[in-house]
Amino acid sequence: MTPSVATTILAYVPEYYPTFGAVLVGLGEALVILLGLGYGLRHLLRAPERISSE
Amino acid sequence: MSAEARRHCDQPLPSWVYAVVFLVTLAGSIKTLDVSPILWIDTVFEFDRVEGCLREGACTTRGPRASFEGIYHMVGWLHFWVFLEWLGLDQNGTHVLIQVANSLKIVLVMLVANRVGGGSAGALAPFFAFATGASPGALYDSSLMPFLGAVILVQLVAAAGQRPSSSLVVLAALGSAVVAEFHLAGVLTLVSVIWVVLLHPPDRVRRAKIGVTAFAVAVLVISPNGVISNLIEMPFRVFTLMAGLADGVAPSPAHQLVPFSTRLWRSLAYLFFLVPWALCRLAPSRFGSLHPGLKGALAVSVPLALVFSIGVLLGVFPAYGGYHHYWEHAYPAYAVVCAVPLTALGYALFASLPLALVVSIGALLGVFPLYRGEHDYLVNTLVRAVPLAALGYGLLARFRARFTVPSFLLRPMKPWMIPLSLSLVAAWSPPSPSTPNLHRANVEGLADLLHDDWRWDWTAVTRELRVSYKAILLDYLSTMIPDWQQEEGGIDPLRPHEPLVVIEVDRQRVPDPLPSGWIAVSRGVRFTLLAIPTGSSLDWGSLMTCFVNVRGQETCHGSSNHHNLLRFMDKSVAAEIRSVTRRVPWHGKPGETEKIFLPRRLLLCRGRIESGPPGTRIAEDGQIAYVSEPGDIVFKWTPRTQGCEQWLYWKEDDPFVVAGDPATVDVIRGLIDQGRP
Repeated sequence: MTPSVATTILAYVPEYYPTFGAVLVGLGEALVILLGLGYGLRHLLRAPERISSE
Repeated sequence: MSAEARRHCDQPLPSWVYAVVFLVTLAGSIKTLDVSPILWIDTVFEFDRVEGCLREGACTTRGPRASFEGIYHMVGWLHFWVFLEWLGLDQNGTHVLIQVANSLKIVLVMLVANRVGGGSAGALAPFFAFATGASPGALYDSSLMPFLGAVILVQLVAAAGQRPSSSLVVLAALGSAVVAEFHLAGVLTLVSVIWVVLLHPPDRVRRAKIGVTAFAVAVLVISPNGVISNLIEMPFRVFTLMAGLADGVAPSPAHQLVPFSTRLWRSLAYLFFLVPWALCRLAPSRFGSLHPGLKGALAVSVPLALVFSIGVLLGVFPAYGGYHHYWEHAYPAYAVVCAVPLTALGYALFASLPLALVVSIGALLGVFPLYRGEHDYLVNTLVRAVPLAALGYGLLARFRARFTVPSFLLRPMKPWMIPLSLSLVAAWSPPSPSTPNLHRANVEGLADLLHDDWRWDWTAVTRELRVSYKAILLDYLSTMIPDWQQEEGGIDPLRPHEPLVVIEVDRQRVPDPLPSGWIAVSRGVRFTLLAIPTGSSLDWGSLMTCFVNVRGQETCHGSSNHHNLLRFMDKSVAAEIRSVTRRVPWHGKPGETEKIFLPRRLLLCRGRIESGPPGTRIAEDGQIAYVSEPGDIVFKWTPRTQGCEQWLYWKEDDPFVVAGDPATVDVIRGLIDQGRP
């Protein structure tokens, strides 16, 4: 990719978020992790117990 | 081992064991890492961006540079930190929150190992999960990675055990995007997600595409500028790197290419933790079959191990040390991959007591000394645990088989007790900070003392403080009181300027009562910050620093910014330095003798007292000198020699030197030498 194309693409991408945007992203990350943990645990605990075949 | 005995060993752990391990882990963590983070250079520049976001609304979507030139990362961590600050958590609060999360990580690792390997594996897994390549006690992008890795592990083990729903695939992919946005190394968790999704037909490729799409959307939302910049930059960087390696050029001045045989051996060491798993796979009839969920743990740990192994082989990663913090999110999975097969091997191999003894003693005597390298966390923990746990299993199994014991005595004896004891010992004494950095809460007390109580101006602070890692301390002080450097000098201080040694001492070792003149600046949970006027006559305000480069050219600096000379020096210029000399005038009175001590244990780059005025007595190791005649004291550092690695010596800008009346220096020396590493 030539530098001019790269510069053009980057011109359409925000360099900074406002504070509120960053807080929202942080909140979203926390939710993804907590939901993923809860959902993963639910699936894990419903999975068959140890003796099984690979 | 009989099927009945095997079932006995596979009994799941009772719930109270999880609670005990969590509480012991948290208590051990607080005991070791305090309720306040240590001063850390990464914290300074990361929090600077968090502050910029909160105060000026300029929240980066590109992030700071990663360890690799031209690549950016960590935006997700910065946004998360902004979120925590917005909620009202300060750095101390965030540090405690992370310790709670990382203690929970240990419980998650136990739970996963218990599900796929039985109770004994669950009890053993935490022993391996305390491994770290990051900086314990520091607050930065790597701090929360172990917990995030444990969350991914839970999801992928569940998904590997049975075909996951699409919603779990999407959540795991989103989670991997968060891990990748906390630290660049987390990008490999996308490979882990794809790996696990591809295990379960039908529609494998379509479901993998769903995961990749979810990941791509998430990273573009979190750090659009960083993702685009990296995608543009990556091909060029990879090409440059490979072209350089083909020409035998090390990828950075931080490490040199070592012989291929060394790289081969070191690269294999990264795969060593897979040996127990491979043995179980090769002989399932002897060792028992492994739970399919274990593939989830392999999916998280193996891609990183392969990248490091190949990277070391090619010379992209240094053969010794460096980049081990990239492992943080994979350690929980690594712990499960170690513990589950080891337990199976333990059952089978060590049911015979003589065999257990021979192998254990052999392992302790023969293998362990090979892996004493400072950074070989992967190998060290494994080699320590194998003989101990195996011996434990063997002894217990033999005991139960040989002796008739009343059932009321036998019932409390569970096979997981021995591995659990190993894990509890590890939980109570987790890795501590490898360098004796001060703690933030104590430094807040120091800022209040110097600025508010004594009214010292910034020039006096930079001149008079003698402390290890001074540049970092000054960064923190200037952040805590932002206008300090701009305030006018010449204000009459409420306490006269004088040389002040600042050290942190374990609370239990603080002299009681404090010697006359000593000040207990702040008392933390574990450490007390002491400010000690030493009455030194070394004139640090007249310090002259000289560098000699590889061509023998000497450059000298007499400015007042000695604490930032090396730090802000052009990297290519710094890489050529072959000696650093610091010349400090001593203005003692006739008949007065001053003792000078260069604390070796606190220095990453060890220097020596090279010379002094006539009559100066210097110890053979160059760490201690007695001076009694006015003149210049010369300190010298020789980078790129043992004990003074090139990429560490910038931390010795404005070095930590303890000088003053001999009795006081001796007391300080005793506190330093008996203290932390």
